[in-house]
Amino acid sequence: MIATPRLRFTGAFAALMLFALVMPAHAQTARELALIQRLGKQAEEAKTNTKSLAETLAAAKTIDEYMAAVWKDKKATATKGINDQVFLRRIYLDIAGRIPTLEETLAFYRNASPNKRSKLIDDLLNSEAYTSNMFNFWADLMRVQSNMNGNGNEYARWIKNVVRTNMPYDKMVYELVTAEGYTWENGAAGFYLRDSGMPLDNMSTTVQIFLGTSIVCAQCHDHPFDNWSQFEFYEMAAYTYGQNTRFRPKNVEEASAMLSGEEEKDALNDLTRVLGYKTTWTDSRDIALPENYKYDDAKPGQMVKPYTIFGDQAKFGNGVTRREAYAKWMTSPSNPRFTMVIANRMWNKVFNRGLFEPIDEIMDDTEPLDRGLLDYLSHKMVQYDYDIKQFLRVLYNTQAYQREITVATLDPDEPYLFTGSVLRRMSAEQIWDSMVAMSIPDPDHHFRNGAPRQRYDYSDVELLQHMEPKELAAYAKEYSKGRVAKAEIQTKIRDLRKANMNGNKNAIMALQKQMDAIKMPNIRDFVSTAKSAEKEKDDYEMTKNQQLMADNAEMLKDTKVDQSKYNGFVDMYRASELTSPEGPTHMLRLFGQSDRDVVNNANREPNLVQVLAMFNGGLFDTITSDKSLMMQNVEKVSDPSEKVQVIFLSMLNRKASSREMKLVEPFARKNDYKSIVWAIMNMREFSFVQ
Amino acid sequence: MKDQLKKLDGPSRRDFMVGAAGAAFGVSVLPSLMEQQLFAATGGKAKRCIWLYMSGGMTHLDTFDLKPGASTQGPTEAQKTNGAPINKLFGDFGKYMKHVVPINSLTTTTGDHGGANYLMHTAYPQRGTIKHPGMGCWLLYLTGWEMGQKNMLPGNVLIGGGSGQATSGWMDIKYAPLPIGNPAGGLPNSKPRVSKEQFDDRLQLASDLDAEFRVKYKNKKDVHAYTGLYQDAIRLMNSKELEVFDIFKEKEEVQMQYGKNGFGQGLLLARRLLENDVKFVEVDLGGWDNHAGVFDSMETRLPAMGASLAGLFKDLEEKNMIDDTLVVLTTEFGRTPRINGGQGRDHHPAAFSGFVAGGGVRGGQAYGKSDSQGYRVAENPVLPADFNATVAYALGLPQKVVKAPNGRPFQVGFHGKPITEIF
Repeated sequence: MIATPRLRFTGAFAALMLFALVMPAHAQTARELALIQRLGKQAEEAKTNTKSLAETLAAAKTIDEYMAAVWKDKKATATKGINDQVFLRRIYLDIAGRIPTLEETLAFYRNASPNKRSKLIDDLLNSEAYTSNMFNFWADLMRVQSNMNGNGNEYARWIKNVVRTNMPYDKMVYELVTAEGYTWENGAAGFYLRDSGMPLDNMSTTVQIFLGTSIVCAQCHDHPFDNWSQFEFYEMAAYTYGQNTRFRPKNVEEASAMLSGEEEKDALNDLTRVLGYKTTWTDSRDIALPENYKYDDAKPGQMVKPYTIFGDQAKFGNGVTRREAYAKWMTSPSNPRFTMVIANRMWNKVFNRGLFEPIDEIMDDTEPLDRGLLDYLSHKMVQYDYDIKQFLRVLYNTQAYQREITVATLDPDEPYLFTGSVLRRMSAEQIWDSMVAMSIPDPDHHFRNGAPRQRYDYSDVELLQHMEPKELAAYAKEYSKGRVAKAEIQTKIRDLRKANMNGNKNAIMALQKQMDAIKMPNIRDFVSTAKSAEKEKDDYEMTKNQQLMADNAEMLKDTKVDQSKYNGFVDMYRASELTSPEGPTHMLRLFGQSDRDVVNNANREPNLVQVLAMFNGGLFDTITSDKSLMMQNVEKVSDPSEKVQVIFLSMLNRKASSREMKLVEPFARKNDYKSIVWAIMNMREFSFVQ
Repeated sequence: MKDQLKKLDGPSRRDFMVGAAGAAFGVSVLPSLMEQQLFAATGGKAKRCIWLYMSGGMTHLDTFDLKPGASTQGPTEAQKTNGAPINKLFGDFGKYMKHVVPINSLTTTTGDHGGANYLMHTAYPQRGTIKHPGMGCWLLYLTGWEMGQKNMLPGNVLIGGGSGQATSGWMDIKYAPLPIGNPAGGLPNSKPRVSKEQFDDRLQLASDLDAEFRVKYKNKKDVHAYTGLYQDAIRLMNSKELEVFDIFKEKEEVQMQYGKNGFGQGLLLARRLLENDVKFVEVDLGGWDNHAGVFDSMETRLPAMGASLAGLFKDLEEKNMIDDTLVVLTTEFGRTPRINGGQGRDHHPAAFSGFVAGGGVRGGQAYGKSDSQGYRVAENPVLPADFNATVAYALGLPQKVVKAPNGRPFQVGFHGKPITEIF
């Protein structure tokens, strides 16, 4: 590798290089002002209420004008606008994460209002389906795993509440980066617990996902093709190096001192293992350069102080902790990358390509397709106070979004001009969730009773956390007593077996009974009644944002839906309710669900196992069972051609053409509607998003 | 990164877990000559590999690293074999220890399941920023394996895995193992749920209904890819090769020999796959996380496991596959020599055991030693990377540096050193 000159001011230098990409803080671009003038009265409203429909449509129009200018400049032609039929399916898949049900499909077609598209966009953005869909998005980005250390289900729940309550993005990031506590106190604490024991990896990922900057190379050596040096990496890591993710609670420590035997201490450790993962901070901890550090600007093992890689310095001290300073610096509108990364990430979500790519690896020579448009989007993101829902609302209302598929093949090297939509196979979650929507009524409110499968049982964590040391010790003692008694009987059984492999059956049975009769203690018998009645929640203080979110989540309990209507559909939950991620043989994984080991690791690659699953998989039985929503709807109408239309409207969200009617007629005549369902499931039109 | 992958890999994009357009035309991308050169370069004899993964952290003291007389041994008893001693409960497996080299000096510092599992499977420490491929992927990648060279079967299969690394890491997805949850179930979803006639009618209907869409997007690669995959799927469903996945095609006595339990059936399926040019099969056996009741657990699991292993080695001998089939067994870490209050053992990464066997390995002796109580490595420490490098060595895979699509350098077995003395 060529030795790079070690300039101490590379950070500032990089920031200068970036200057061109920094979004301007001015209120409105000239193009937008011109438009607002043309819109006249409507514009007045837009000015006063930054999140009104008028403002939304004005912003969408502005984006379309930017796009039109790009096309004119590059002599490109855009595709036509889509019809209602394509719009309906596309918008459901994009916002709700699934296809619409028969009822939803018919409601849209029956609506004659001229602004029914905008209305549908709003309805979907405010639905629980949006929560489910966006959870998948964030879970892929933040690698949320049910089985991670410290209870991933609570982390997942926190993210769902962020989406449900539409917590501003900058607040969300701030909460994550400064998080502390147990996940059941503060789900955001999962952000550090996810990378327990890997603070450097955690920093690389944080900078990648929130600042679109890849510094992972600099973790071990100077970045070969970018500005970042290993020294700078350590300076950045120093901000959050004070994180601790392992924890020994005081009550456990004290209880342990009250116990004598190793057996009892083991029992205590086993019982309280779930309290061992908690995010806490030793704020002033510096970080040392690695022992194999090989550059001249510093010595191996030398301690490093926090210093940011670009933008302003994050000042700490005077009551501001390092992580708070770091989080403020990161989420500030004046951070040169924070805003444009989220603006581009959301653009990428809606248009399936970024305005600059790769979206997580900005370099000095990164050129957005249109700088003015990127600036404008960044400006809107700030103006909307990082309101993701409002931002998406604008993008979905653009003409650019509502265009037909670009039919031409795209060379991956050629910049994509967004002249039309990108044809793509549904994501694994979209396919699965669409199947769910065909099978059960009200698919977005089927909530899992109890958390997805995990390695440890977290059901008593709050009791354990608040027990007095002597209560814990008494509990551990009893638990140990039971275990030892069981082990003694086990040894007897083993000896009997050894003495005579086949005989001694009755004696062994008797012993087994004895063993089963030994009762293991119940934690509730050891908690004093006064306390268990209403225990104050730790000394942990919720921040304002968390409090607000908790309140809002409580208010938004349209999640309180009668679950009895789902009887008989045990496994039909939306992907967001299942284990994150599912096991390797689950249909979600076969279709490319991310393993959530690394950032955004989902794929839409076709493979033969998927085809076989669609041909012969068991899910087909659920979809076509008598109880399935779709088949019940088929039953409700008597005319065979109407039955066919119910299937087409439920699966493709359009009516069958006369040609198609003719094709399915022989099947309908035989009352074989299952074959029709099978055929549609195996159409590419079904699994692709147009 | 995905785009870069696409660029690198243009022509082979549509080769997935099973099936390839190439198969129809008999195209072989890398001739087997190259395979031979690779093997000649390092002298590895093994052409294929069964990787047995003991998920949860297998106790070393109660399996392959026995300490008769030590206070940490508990009620476990050793048996003499024609090779290294093993737990008496393994039964007939002792008769085949002449093929086996237990490694009793495995060591790592990673004590959590996920991290240690990842490390053992990939030789690299787990990162939040990249995913590393496992041995099966490396084997296919470095030998230039392509779908359809020999038949329609995948090159890499993972049986019973919930814990295995079921991805191809940064490598092309075609190298990813095909996951099979239940070895007795055959290839998942390969049997039509209706009669052949009805199936064909349905397929015809799907094709007719979809005609407009196909024409409209005829130049879209993904749409086109599915067309090919449909053909492959139908071909596979009707092919003889599908039977390879059906362990019930074996004689009853062979099924009995392997044992009618998940692990035994996994081994039997692995052998059937390897016989048919599948290169790498991992079989996972869970339930080793014995924080409590470790000895009871051994009593129930080892006799069955020993019988299945004996069945496998007997079969490999009889089929003359023992010399070019490498069988390895490994796990994420060992378990504490100290027996805890629940009669269990806890996580112990400092010293643990695995084995390598067959495939040119000089069996009948153990490699490496832990101390008298089984706490620390006393002789010849073997890191997970060394273990991987040893497997690579046996398979004749060169530890040359290759670049991932993002430009970062990687090699099979990381910087591990192979144990060459046991070959």
